[in-house]
Parts: sequence; C-alpha cells; structure tokens
Amino acid sequence: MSRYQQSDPAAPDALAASISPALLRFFRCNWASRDLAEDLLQETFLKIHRMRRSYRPGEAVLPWVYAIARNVRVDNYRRVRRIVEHEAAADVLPEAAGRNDGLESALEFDALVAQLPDAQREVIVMLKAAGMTVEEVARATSSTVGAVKLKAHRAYGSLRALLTSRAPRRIGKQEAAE
Amino acid sequence: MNRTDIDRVLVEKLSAQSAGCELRPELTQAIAERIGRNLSAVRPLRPFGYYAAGFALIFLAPIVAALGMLSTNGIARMSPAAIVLAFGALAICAALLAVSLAADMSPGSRRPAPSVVLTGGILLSLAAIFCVLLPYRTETSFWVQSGLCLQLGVVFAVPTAALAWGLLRRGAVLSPAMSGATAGLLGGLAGLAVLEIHCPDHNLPHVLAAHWGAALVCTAAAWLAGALMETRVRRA
Repeated sequence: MSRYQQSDPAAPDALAASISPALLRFFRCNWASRDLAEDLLQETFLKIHRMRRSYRPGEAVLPWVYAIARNVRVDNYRRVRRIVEHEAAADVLPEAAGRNDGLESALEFDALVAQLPDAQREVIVMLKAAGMTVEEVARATSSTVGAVKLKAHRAYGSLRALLTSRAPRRIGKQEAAE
Repeated sequence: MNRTDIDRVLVEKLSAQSAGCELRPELTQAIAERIGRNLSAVRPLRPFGYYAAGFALIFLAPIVAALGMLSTNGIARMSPAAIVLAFGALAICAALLAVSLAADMSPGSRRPAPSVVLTGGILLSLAAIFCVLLPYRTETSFWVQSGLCLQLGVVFAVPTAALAWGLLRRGAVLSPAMSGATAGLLGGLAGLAVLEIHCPDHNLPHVLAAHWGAALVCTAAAWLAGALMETRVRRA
C-alpha cells in the first residue's frame, strides 16, 4: 500500500491480485450476483484509488480496504432500494439485481452464510473468508470488539442450527432416493 | 456441534473450489490498468495524534476568544465543584469527539465508540449532568433570555464546526452525515462552553433550552448538511 501511495507502477497489479479474490467473495456472500459483485469490486478499487491518501502507513491494510468495500456495498444497497421503490408502480417489476441468482452455483460457503442476517454474515465473512482478526473487523465495521464478538457468537449459533438441521434433511433425501 | 466443528465445516467449504467464484484474470488486469492509468504519488495522512490535537485546538479556539471578548459572569457564579464537574465533562466529551473525528479521516481506524453512540451518548450525559447539578426555577423572561443565549451559542458553534469540517475533509470521510454530526457536536460543545463561562443564568430550563440546545441545534444542522451531501454524492 505504501508503494501504491508512492506511485510504484507495479503496486496496482500487486494490490489488485492480493485483495480482489477476498473482496469478490465478500460481495458474493452478501447476495450479489457475479456481475454485480464484479461491478462492486471495480467501484471499490476506484474508491481505494481516490482515497489512497487516507491510508496511514504502518496501519493494517485490511480494515481500511474492507471499510471502503462495506461503504460501496451499502451505497449500492441504498441505490437499488431507491430504484425498486420508484419503480414499484410499474406493471412488470424487474427482478431485483441478482438477489438470488447464482446462489446454487455459488460456493457452499457462500450459500451457507447467505442464510445469516446481514450483520452476522458480514462479520463471519470477514473473520473466516478474509482472515481478519476481531479487532480488524471492529475497525472495518466502525464497531467495537465486544459488538463484533457478540455478532460472531450469534452467527455461530445460527450456523449451528443451520448445519444440524441440514444433516437429517440430507439423510432423508438420500433415503428417499434409495 | 461446537465452535471447532463449525470452523472445520466453514474451512472445508471455503477450500472447496467452484468455477462460479474464481476471479477472472482479465478483471484483475482491467482494475490494475484502470487505477494504474492515473497513478501519481500522494502524501499520506499525518499521524492520528496530529489531527486529534488539531480538532482539540479547534474546540479550544472559540473558548479562548470568548474569554477575551465576553464577561465571565457565568463561571464566577459557579461553585468550584460545579466548575470541575461541568468543564471536566466538557473536556472529556471534546477529547472523545476529537479522537473520533481523527478516526473518521481514515477508514478502518480504531475509534472510541461508533459515531451514533458517541454523539447520542454525549448529548444525553450532558443533559443528565445539568439535570443533577442545576436547580429548577420558573423565569419571567425565559424565551427572550434563552433566545439570546441560543443565538450566542450558535454564533460560536457554527465557525468551530465549519473549521472541524474543513480539517475533516483533508481525509477520506465515508459517512458525511455522521461525521458532520460529530463535527457539529464539537462546535456545539464549544458554544456550550462559551455560554457556561459567560451566562450567569444557571437555571435548569434555561441551560437545557439555550446552552445544551445550542449543541443540539448545531449537531442536528450539521447532520442534515452531511446527509444532504451524502445523498447528492450517491446520486451523482
């Protein structure tokens, strides 16, 4: 990031290659279709580029990047909501941009965490998929460590319920197939 | 199923590859090219403490100016314990706001509390302190006196908030509405401190309506201005 701030020509490639996969997963896990996730990823990088001055050298990069990515996601959510509200009177409503499409083809992880409430999903994706610490997640979400721990605890509770309720259903399906 | 089991399942699911979630190399390349096109060197933000001190100075400036320009009738009528409690609370609140504003300049910074909690908490705690400290009496010229004090408080609060916003804009503000409210409250607290020093009327309804009211009005106005800015930016 420091090299990027000093306009090292190799820095954009290195930055894009290192954080793009995790960011794409972050958007995908938050109900975005593949196309939308890629759009949001590009928008995030443009914002990162515009805000690159605000990164303080020596600080952790991930909270800075995810705070920006989260802001892009929230902005997009509000934009989509406004469009849907304004177009509610139309005869034929278009499908909300990629809410459920591709869920089946997505990674199982994405499909599993997609069933969690927004706040819990965000925390689990940052902790497990991006490999951030609780402190980093708290910084990225403008929250406190205690609040993040509480959300993670609730998310584990929801995941436990999801995973334990899934297992018998699968067995039931297998039995029916046999 | 305990946490370790859930972690194991999550790791297994994460490591399972799927064509649907792989990053297209041309996308990474396009991003790198797009941001690489306008690449120029930038000077990073100064250390966190530098800006926190800047916001603290912005808070102190109108108070120092008021000490030179206005009478100190208010502070003269306060008991030493009330001075320590009222100005101690104001100093702590201003310090927390200065740290929060410095954190707002760089996304993902460590902050004392979420902005909403901090702003609401400060306003409510100050109101509670005034309710505990000050006596309740009915006044004959309540509206006239309160109107004058409110006006004076806002006159000192608005330039302070504007200066804080000017410094804030040197960083990257992700949420102009909440950062605006925080800057507005910093200005409002400066106005409140000026009124506490100058105004001899320490009657509870007057202090809540005019002194604390100045902080509330400034916070609300700054939040509104920030929200309008946020909406305009999002629509653009």
